[in-house]
Amino acid sequence: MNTENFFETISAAFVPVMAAVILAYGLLRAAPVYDYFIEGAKKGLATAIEILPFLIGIYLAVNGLTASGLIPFLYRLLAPLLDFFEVPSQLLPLMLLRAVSGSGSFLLVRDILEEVGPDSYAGRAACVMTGGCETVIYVLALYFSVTRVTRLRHAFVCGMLAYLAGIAISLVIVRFI
Amino acid sequence: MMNYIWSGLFLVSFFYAVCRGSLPAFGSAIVESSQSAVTFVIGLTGIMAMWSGLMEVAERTGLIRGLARLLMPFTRLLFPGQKDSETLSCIIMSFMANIFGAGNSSTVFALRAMERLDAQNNHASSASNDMCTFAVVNMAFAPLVPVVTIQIREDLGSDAPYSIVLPAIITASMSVLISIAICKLMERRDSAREHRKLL
Repeated sequence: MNTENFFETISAAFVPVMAAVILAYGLLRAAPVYDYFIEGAKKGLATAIEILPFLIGIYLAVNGLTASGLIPFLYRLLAPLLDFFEVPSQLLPLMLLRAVSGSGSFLLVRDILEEVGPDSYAGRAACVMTGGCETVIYVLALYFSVTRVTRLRHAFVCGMLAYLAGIAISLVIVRFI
Repeated sequence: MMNYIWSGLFLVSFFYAVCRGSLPAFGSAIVESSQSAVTFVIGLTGIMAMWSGLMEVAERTGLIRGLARLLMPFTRLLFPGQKDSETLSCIIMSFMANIFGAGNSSTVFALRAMERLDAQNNHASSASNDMCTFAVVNMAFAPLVPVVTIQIREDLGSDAPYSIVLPAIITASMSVLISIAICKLMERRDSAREHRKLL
């Protein structure tokens, strides 16, 4: 078995194995797993509805941004830098947006994958980027909203630096795995 | 903050569209976007409900709590000054939920942890070290299985939809380590500055 197959097998096994472990553990403890599952699924449905207004807002801003032609303009500004690091241009909106919105970036990933194909370098890099980087600004705004803190100190800088590192790492790692 | 970013993004695009004369395209893109957002959520709902159901089972049967206890030494390392076990367990639960891809449960625990940290900080206007570390590390943490991304890949006919799981995990763990390192460095710089002030 070559390494690629090996990783593919491990990755493909994650969801079913996790589901099996969770359910088996529940049964061992004699818990009503089915009832719990249904209850949780209901919450999941509620969540889907809850995020909808948020999604519409983000989609509005992002689609507007794309349609206005500002991204190609930004790309022309940043192109030398992207070319230098051999970064596909389709990834630029995602790199900018991922810091702001999680749900919005999924829409972008879909668009990117439709354009370049899910198994291309750019497509895989886009997926790893969304999987391995978080929505810095959204999380900070949300977390500190329950505190009286007005000075974030190093939280913002650290978050942004880690975010940039995540983007750089995802661009590199997809070349190897 | 979202307020300014969101409206700023919109207004900047609007003015650029006006300057380029692409206002009609801009207008129809906006109207279409709300429609596509709804379509997207409908496609997402099933997988979200399934995962949320499994998470509920893991949470109520104590599986998450058990894993949280296993990770206790790790959190002690991150938050050396933190004595309150309930704050610590909120923090760990938030990390765990994050890893399991239950973003909303993670947020619930995170907010609870932040409230407790805020009380420990005497509701000061400046964030405490533990707050910064927690927020930054929890941000860098990523779900073990990026379900939505995989679903999108499957929908678009990828040959290996799961092939991005491992690179994503490696990316996330590396950015967790990097964020911890930067946080601790900045803490040290701040406390050195305080120290000098006292002298």
